[in-house]
Amino acid sequence: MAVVAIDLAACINCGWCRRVCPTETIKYFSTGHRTHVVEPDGCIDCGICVPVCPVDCISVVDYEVPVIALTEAKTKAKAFAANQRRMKQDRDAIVARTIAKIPKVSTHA
Amino acid sequence: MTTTYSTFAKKVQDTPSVREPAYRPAMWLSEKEKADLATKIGDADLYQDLFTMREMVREAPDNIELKKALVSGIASAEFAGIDAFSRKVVEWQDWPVPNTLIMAMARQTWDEVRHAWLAKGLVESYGGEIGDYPDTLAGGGPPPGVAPQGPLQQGFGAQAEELLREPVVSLSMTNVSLEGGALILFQETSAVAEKIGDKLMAHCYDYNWADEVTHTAIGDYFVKALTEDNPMEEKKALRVHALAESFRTRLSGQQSDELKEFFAEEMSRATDALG
Repeated sequence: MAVVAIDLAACINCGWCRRVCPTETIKYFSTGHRTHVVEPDGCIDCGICVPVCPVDCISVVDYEVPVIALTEAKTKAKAFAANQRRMKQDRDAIVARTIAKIPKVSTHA
Repeated sequence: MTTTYSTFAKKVQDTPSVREPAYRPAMWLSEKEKADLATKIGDADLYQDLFTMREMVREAPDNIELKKALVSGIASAEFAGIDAFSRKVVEWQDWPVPNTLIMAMARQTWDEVRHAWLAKGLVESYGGEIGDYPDTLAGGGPPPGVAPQGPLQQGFGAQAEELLREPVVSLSMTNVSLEGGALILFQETSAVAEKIGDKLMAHCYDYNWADEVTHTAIGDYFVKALTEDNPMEEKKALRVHALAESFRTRLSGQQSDELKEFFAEEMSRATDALG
């Protein structure tokens, strides 16, 4: 199995990877330092964080996550995805409701 | 940490921020102005929620007012950025910081000018102009007698204004946290623009995105340099970053457990210190 790792020398601490991580296993505020660190036992190798990194400093490394930790992480990821879906549905409903209130007069000239 | 400011820096600090057309912050609109705004975008209260505004543009790509509103809302931050970073070029000459940081702030000021210029051109391409829509952020701040309501004011109260003048605090909050967060907004806005076939909007926000990466990197580099071998300052930078992120994510409901735990620990430490 593989997990991700962050090259601390290249990381600019933008936090994008941390915000998209479905298991919240990329830590920053709890590290005691200004460094983004992956706790490998929480990584499910979903790869979501890799393409969003603006400085390409996240790589994949070999690591065997213990089965219990992996099960816990996957449960957390499912809850995260469900929350994201719910927030998207809520936002979509607001968008649809708001657009319906706008008079249909504004279009490209 | 404090410093003694030169006469020039004090003069700059005492000079209020102005723009032509004048800043018109959304949070201080009159009821009539709010009603006018609601006529154009459906709900005036959503104007400052740029992520929802962007989704509205995705859903109604032919509605030109929504595009003007989205671009104007983002442009406010560019104008505020010109104001804020140019002040730092002057003020930070009185702080013990490397000259390269002053030069970086000058470069960043010019980047924000180009972003504002791009936004102006984009709004004009939709048949509008800067000032048609209110400001989501404004260099002018709140009207007289109204207290500012940013994350630092919530976290540090009356000390906030002085704290924000400190290079480490300002860089951690603005460059690393806020500009780091703006990366997502610009990338997703560019993607939405591409999807709805608005090539000009896509190009503008792709361009801005690249600059934001540099600004975040500048902030991170200098916070590291200024807090090296100074754990207390590094901790302060981390706390400010947490405050700014908390302020932003609280509204979206996306606050992480780690951030919640960070504040719980801070509160517990503060309570212990009080005995």
